[in-house]
Parts: sequence; C-alpha cells; structure tokens
Amino acid sequence: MASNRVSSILAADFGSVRTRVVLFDVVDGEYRLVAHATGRTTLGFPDNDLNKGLRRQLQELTRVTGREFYNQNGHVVTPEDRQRNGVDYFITTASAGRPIRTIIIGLLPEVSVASALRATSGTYIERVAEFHLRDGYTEEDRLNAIVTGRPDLIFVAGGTNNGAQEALKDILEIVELGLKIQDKELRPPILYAGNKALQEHINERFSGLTDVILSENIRPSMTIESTDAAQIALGKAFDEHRETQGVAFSTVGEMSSTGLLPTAESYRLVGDYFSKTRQANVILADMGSTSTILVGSFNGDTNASIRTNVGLGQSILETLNTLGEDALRPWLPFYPIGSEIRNYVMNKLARPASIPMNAREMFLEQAMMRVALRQIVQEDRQAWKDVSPEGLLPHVDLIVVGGGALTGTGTPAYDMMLLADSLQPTGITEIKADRHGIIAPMSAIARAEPEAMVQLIEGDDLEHLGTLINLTGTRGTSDGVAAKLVITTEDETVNYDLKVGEYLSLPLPHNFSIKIKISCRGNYRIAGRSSRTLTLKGGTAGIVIDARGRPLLPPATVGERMTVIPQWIASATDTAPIVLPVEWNLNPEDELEAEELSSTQEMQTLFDTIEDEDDPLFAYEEEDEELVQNDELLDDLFAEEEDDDDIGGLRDLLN
Amino acid sequence: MYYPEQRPISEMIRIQRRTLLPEYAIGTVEAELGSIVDVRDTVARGLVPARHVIIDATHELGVRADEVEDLLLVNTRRIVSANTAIAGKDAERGRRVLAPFQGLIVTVDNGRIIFQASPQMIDLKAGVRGQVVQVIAGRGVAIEATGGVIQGVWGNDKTVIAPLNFEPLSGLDEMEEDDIGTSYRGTIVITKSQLNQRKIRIAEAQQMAGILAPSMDASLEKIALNSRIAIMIATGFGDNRFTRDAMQILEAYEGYSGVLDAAYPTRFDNRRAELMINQFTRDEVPSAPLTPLRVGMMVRITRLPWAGRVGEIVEVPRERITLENGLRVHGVWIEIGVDRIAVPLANIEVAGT
Repeated sequence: MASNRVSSILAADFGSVRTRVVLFDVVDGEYRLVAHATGRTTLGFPDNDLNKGLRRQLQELTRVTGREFYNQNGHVVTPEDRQRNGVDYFITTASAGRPIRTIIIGLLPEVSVASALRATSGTYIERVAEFHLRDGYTEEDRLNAIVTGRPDLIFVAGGTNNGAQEALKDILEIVELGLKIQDKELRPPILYAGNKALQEHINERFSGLTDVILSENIRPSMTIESTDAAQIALGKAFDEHRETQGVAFSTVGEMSSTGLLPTAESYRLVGDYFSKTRQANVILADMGSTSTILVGSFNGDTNASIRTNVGLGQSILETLNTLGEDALRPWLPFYPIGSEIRNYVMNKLARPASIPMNAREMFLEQAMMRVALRQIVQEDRQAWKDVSPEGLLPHVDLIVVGGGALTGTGTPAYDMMLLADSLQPTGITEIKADRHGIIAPMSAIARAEPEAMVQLIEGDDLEHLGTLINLTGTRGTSDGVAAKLVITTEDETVNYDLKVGEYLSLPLPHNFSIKIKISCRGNYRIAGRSSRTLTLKGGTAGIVIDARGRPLLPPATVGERMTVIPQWIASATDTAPIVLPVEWNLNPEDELEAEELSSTQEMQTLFDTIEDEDDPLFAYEEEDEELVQNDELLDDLFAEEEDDDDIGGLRDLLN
Repeated sequence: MYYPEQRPISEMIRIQRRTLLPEYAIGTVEAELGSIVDVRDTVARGLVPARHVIIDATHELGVRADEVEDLLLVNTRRIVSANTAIAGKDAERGRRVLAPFQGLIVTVDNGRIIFQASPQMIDLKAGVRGQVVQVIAGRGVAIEATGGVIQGVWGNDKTVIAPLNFEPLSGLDEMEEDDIGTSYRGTIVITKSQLNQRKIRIAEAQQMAGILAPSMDASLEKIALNSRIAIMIATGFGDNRFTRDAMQILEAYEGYSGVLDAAYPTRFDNRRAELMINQFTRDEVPSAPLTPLRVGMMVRITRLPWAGRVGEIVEVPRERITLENGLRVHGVWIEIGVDRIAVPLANIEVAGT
C-alpha cells in the first residue's frame, strides 16, 4: 500500500437495517468526504443479498459525483482508472448478521479471560461459554457447551509465555473430545493466543481435527497485555464467518479490498486517537438495531465493549428481557396498560427499522435507550481507568455518537438531550455525531493510509453538534436559580437566570462563537468550580446548558413526567411542549382510577364502533381526540412563556 | 431513491419461499437445484444435538480403559431405550452400564462412554409445489412458487399444510371444547379478531391444524409457543384486525389447501411467518416488483396509530417531515380517505401486488 498512494476510498457499512456508503477523496491535498448515501439493508426478504442495497447506494453516488463504480462484470473497479471511475480502495464493514458464537478459554477469569474478552471488543461475538479454572463446570457441562452450543469459534488464551502449561492442557482435553465426536465440517476453528510455549502442542493436538489459527500471546506476562494480533485474527475469523453465511454476504466481501470487517473494530481506535491526541476523556456510543458499542477512554486508557444483545430493533426483545419492564417505568409519562410494553417490543421486533409515530411509543423507545445505555455505562465504568465504579462520571471532554437511536430525532439538540440523559456526562463536553458512517472504515484506512484517517477524523466530516455544559448539583437558590448566565454575542449581552432542572438550548450556528459567564448558585458546580467563563463555538445543535443536575433522575411521578419531559423536549427543539392526554395519569392498578380509565376506554370503543360502521374491516385508535388540560399544566405553560422572553430574544438573535 | 420494505399480501404472485431447518439443527439438503418439488417432498433432513453424558465405564465395570470398547453390548450410533445394558460382560447379570435415558453411544474415549440422548430428527417438507432455485448448504432451499401469499409478523415455529376455514360466525371462542361433528378438525382456522387463550384451547381440543389470527396480546406468547398447533399472527401485537387486502385473499381462498409456515422470528434468520396457497398455473405470474418509492404508490403503514391501513403516497418531500410526536424524519405524505398523514419511510411497506 505504501508505495501506491491511495487517493479515492469507498467505504460501505452494512448495518442490520441501514446500508451507509461514503466516498472519500483527496481535495486540495487533503482527504475529504466527497459524497454519501444511505438506504435500506437488503439482507432479508425478498433480496437476501447485501450487494443489491450496495448497488442502489452506489447508483446514488454516481448520480451525485458522475463517477461509475461497477465494471461490466458487476464488480466494483479497483484501483481507480484514468477516467476516474472506480476507487483505489474499497472497504466493507458490517454489523449485520449473526455474531460469531464463541467459547472463550483461559486460566484465570480476571487475567487471561479478561484479556480475551477485551481482544474481542472489536468483533461481534456471542459468548456461548467461558471455560477457566474457576468456571464451576463439570467436564460434561463443557462437552455439552461444545457439542450442543454449536460455537463458530473457540478462542483459547491463557498462561504467560513459558509459564505453567498443565492446567490449560487439562481444559483442552475436553475440547479435543468435543471436536472429535462432531462431524468434521461442523467443528469450529481454534484461535490460540495463549502461552507461546504451548503453540506446538496446540498444533499437534488440533490441526488434524480443525483449522488452527496461532496468534501472539495476549498476556505475554502478568503485567503486559497485547491484544492487537489477536484482534486482527478475530477480524479474519469474522470475515470467514460471514462468508459461511452464504451469498448474502459473500459477494460484497469478495469485491472489497479488505474483506468484510466488523464495524466495531474502528471505534476503539478512534476513541484512543481522540484520547491521546487531545489528552481528553472520551466516550463513543453507538446504539443500533442489533448491537450497542460503547468506548470509554479515561485517563489515557481505552476500553471498548460490544453488546450483541442490546439494540432497539432486532435485539429489542433481548434488551427488554435484560432490563425488565419495571426499569422503564421511571422514564414513562404514563402508566403502561396491560401488555403495552411487550406489545410495542414485539411489533418493533417484527419491523426493526420502523419509527414511533405517536408520542406513547416514542416515550417507550426513548426510555429503553436511556435505561439500556445507563446500564452499559454502569457495567463498563468498572473497567475505566481511575473512574470510580459508582457516583458521578469524571469530566468527559468529548462524546461521539452514532447509530440510529442516538442520532435519530431529526433535531441535533434533542439528540444531545437524549445522550445527556443516557450517558450523564459531567463537565464541559464537546459533542460530535457520526451520521454517515465515517468511523466504521477508519481501522482499515489507518492500516492503508494513516494520514487519511487523521485528516478525516479531524476534519468536519464528523458532525459537530456543539457543546454540552453539564452542571452538577441538586439545590439552587430559594427562588430556584441554579446559575446566573451572562451571554455575550457580537451584538449584545444578555443576563439569564438558569433554573434548577432547566435544559437550556442556545442554537448557535457553525462559525459563530459566544462568550458565556456561568456563576453557579446553591450546590451547583460546573466542572467542579462555582464559576466559569467560556468562549464556545456553535454547531448544528449549538450550546446546551443542562441544569437538571447529576445524577440525573427522572421526575418521580407520572404526573410530573407528563409535564417535565415534554418541557425538556420543547427546550431542545424550540417548539411548544406536546400536551399529553390527562388519562395518561390514570393508574390502572388503582381501583378508582382504573374505573375512570375503563370508562375512557369504553368511550373510545364507542367511537371505534361508530367508525367501524363505515368500514367494518378497520378499527384503530385515534389518540389525538380533544385533549383536556388541567389547570396546573396551563399554569406551567404560561409561566414558561413569561420566562422565555429574554432568552427568546437571544435565540432569535443567534438564529 | 428509496426502495420500501416488502411484505407480500397478494392473491397471485410468484415468490421465492425459503424452506429452512432451524438454525440449531445439523442438516443435509436433499433437494437438487433446479428440481421440481411437491408440497410433501422432503427437501432436507436435520437433527438437533441433544445432551451428552460421560460415563466412567472403567469404574462401573471395574476394568482397564483399553478393555471398555470390547465390552460394549450395543453398536455405537444405534438408539437404545433407557436402562438397556450398553456395556458389560453379560447383558443380563453382573456389573453392567445401563443407558441413563433413551439415546445412543457416540464414542468410547479413554475408558469413558460418551452417551447422547436421542437427538430430535427433523424431516423438512417443501410445503409448496415449485422449482428449487437456491440450495442453502446445511439449512434448506429456496423454492419459486406461485399462488396467494400473506406474510405475517410472528409464528410459533410450527408448519402445517391444511385447508383454510373461517371460524363460525359466532366466533371461535363461542365454540365448546367438546363439540363433536364440527368441520374444523385438521383445518387452518381463520379467526377475524384478536387471538386469546380460549381460542387456542378450543383449537387444540378440536384438533385443528392451525390458527391464523390478525393479532395477539404479547402476554400470550409463551402459551402460543407451547401450543401443539401452528399459530400465525398476520398484522401485529395488541388488538388489530386483518387488513382489507388480507381479508379479501382469505375469503377468496377459503376451502383451499395452504401451507401455514408459522416461522418464529429470530434475530438473525430473516425468515417470516407466512401463509401460502399454492396455485400452479401456466399463466405468466409476476414477481413482487422492486420499484422505488414514487407518488401514486399504494402502501401499508406499519405503526400505530395507523398500523395496517393502506393509502396512497401523495407527496415525497426532500426535507424531513415532522411527526405528531415531534420527531423529524425522512418520510412521505399519505392520503387515507380524507386524512393526510406524515409517515416515516421506514414505516411503509408495499404489498407486492
């Protein structure tokens, strides 16, 4: 690669529901994003071939750029020809498809098994079992995990170089038996990344039975971990695994310069890059239909994880089963009725790409995202360097988000609010979004053309949403002020009292900056201090000052949530709050309220029946019937309008 | 250019139907590419590996490890019933190893007998008459066939081939479990309203072959999965009716034999539950057209509050549209009667007609 400089790079990322294609090229001596397209992934009925969706997206790029990508045989042309058709380098990544079912073997759970798990953090794997000295399994359990668990890969770590050998040999004895009693074509390959002194033994023992891949020891000594070689080997195993999944994957894998790489492989690299180059604490989060990636780079150390059973589409049922329905309730501005949550989840599972059209389903989906991400952060932070396992997170300097869930509201400041709810950063945080799938190919680009990776990541192609200023604290002044703001633009200065619990969004566009002096009141703090003066640049969302406090707890009652959550959304979107039907506040588990709810539902059924008389085949719920507002809600709305006067003027000015 | 999701509900269509063994089965495909298969032809066979136990025969028999193989009383890989003597000097007396349950000896390894419970055998039928157009190694085939199709959203992982029959006018749940002389035995019964536990119980008691229902409450999932009969949900979870086009097809095909492939939706298998009423015809039958989104297209909306309604696309804006819940998404405007509704692109399906 080094001798033939790569100029044009095409990258296609196949998610479970979306296929994203990006074209990079050198413009004025620098790599830039030239064009992008997104469409439906063609993995299921009726196409079942990723290439069909790819072809549609490349047609779109051809329309925009004039560049042809395919030759007469239907293959993507590489390298680019003299007419500037084709591309120099074609990268394909995927998160779609079944993860690699893997048995992980090591000696100690906190040493070699932990290292093995970290090595798998760039690949989509589903753990069938973990064998180690303290796994509590009988030989029979282990045999059954191998035979009935049907793993696609056995990943063996364990032992420092030239360290003890017998313990690992003992565990491997049952692996050998498990392989022997299966038909040859069903035996999973073995990836060995353990004690170097055992490599010959592994080869002798297993090469006659199955494919053996030898990699560097991921734990050459107790104090050193080296996962790079094993990660590359796992990437290859991922590509081969996809090949075995038939024509759906094989065509695109064959055409590309890299084979089909796991999408997640690059996230760790990008997190590490930002962390090291900026000396910053960084979080990358990507929640998709099938899986969720979280990277935490804290105090110079990067930790990445993939949950292949957490997502808001194809994995939504697993997600709900993991979280439990009760965990969602604190974020819902209504009492779920009967099987409402599970009905919603099953309908989403049937149509994973679909989007909530009414408010109730939207609140459900957003509640799942918040709770799931909070749980992942809580689990992962145990491994983040110098981060306390409980309590507030340390200051986070940069958050990069991807995936439909975290970038899907259509309003950047609203996306920012959801990620603040989910990740609860503290300090002053720059927010970027990867809307086009730029991160996915970065690992391959870094190997082929490192300069390109740096220029693309540092350029403007990751969308700069803006800055999220997170105030910690719970108590302001007696009149409810959390901080006094003095906001200075080129034209004027505005004073503003930021209320406790307020989410203030200032839509400052790109290429503009403002100066903000924040003086905290009560026990509120900004990045550990009581006062800060900041000069901040704008973005697609602008500047957000979040005085809802950390930890951020949802309002305690359904009635409060009915008012407060729509108010947060309204602040983020600069629109009037959605007014929710009063019957949402009726608790079906309370006898009296259940009766009232039931009579409301009976009325609804009566309306449905009348509608049915016109069209007996259809009955559907109209949710936007005349809404009754209670006095309290009206008071709040008017109060908000009064508050808005001076900041409204500032918003107009910024806009 | 956007190509909407397809979920065929069509009276006559050419469709490629994937007939697959479960993902966890070990299978061999028997049908050949290009061959014509009939409804009840076996296209693949599979077995689901069962629990293995390790029996220390040296201890049980009091012999050396290298002697165990010679003391086997039954052939390996041959199924024996529980408590059959499988190793020993004499099958009737003395120290013997008995089969812990019905199963087979897999192998003898270093004096240990590896014994497997009887694996579940699966005989995969074609389900439709048509031509094999793809062989999926170890899993099954894709068969191109013609006929009426209704693709649904959920199934309880069972498949039946049987005639279609509408429930009585009074409703399936008004029948008695012990009614005799009803004409529903062995048929796929179509119930027009939400499935409930009573309907499943009656269908089982009446030995019906399957139930096709528009909707079901999600709380019923476990009961439906454990049911002996095939159950398919066509429209969604909650309380929905059949869409108008689905109802028309079902009425047209009442009395015809159909295959109810109640595929259970798994995360990575991409199979869909479907009812197919196979109609072999010499006429040219079109496949579902893969047409990009355009104004004038008739589409089905998939999410509440309009789930299951069919309407005409009247506008495809370039910019995002705002939904009633405030989300801003790429979408279309659809007219249904006098209503004009903003619908996300991701929430529309074409019926493939």
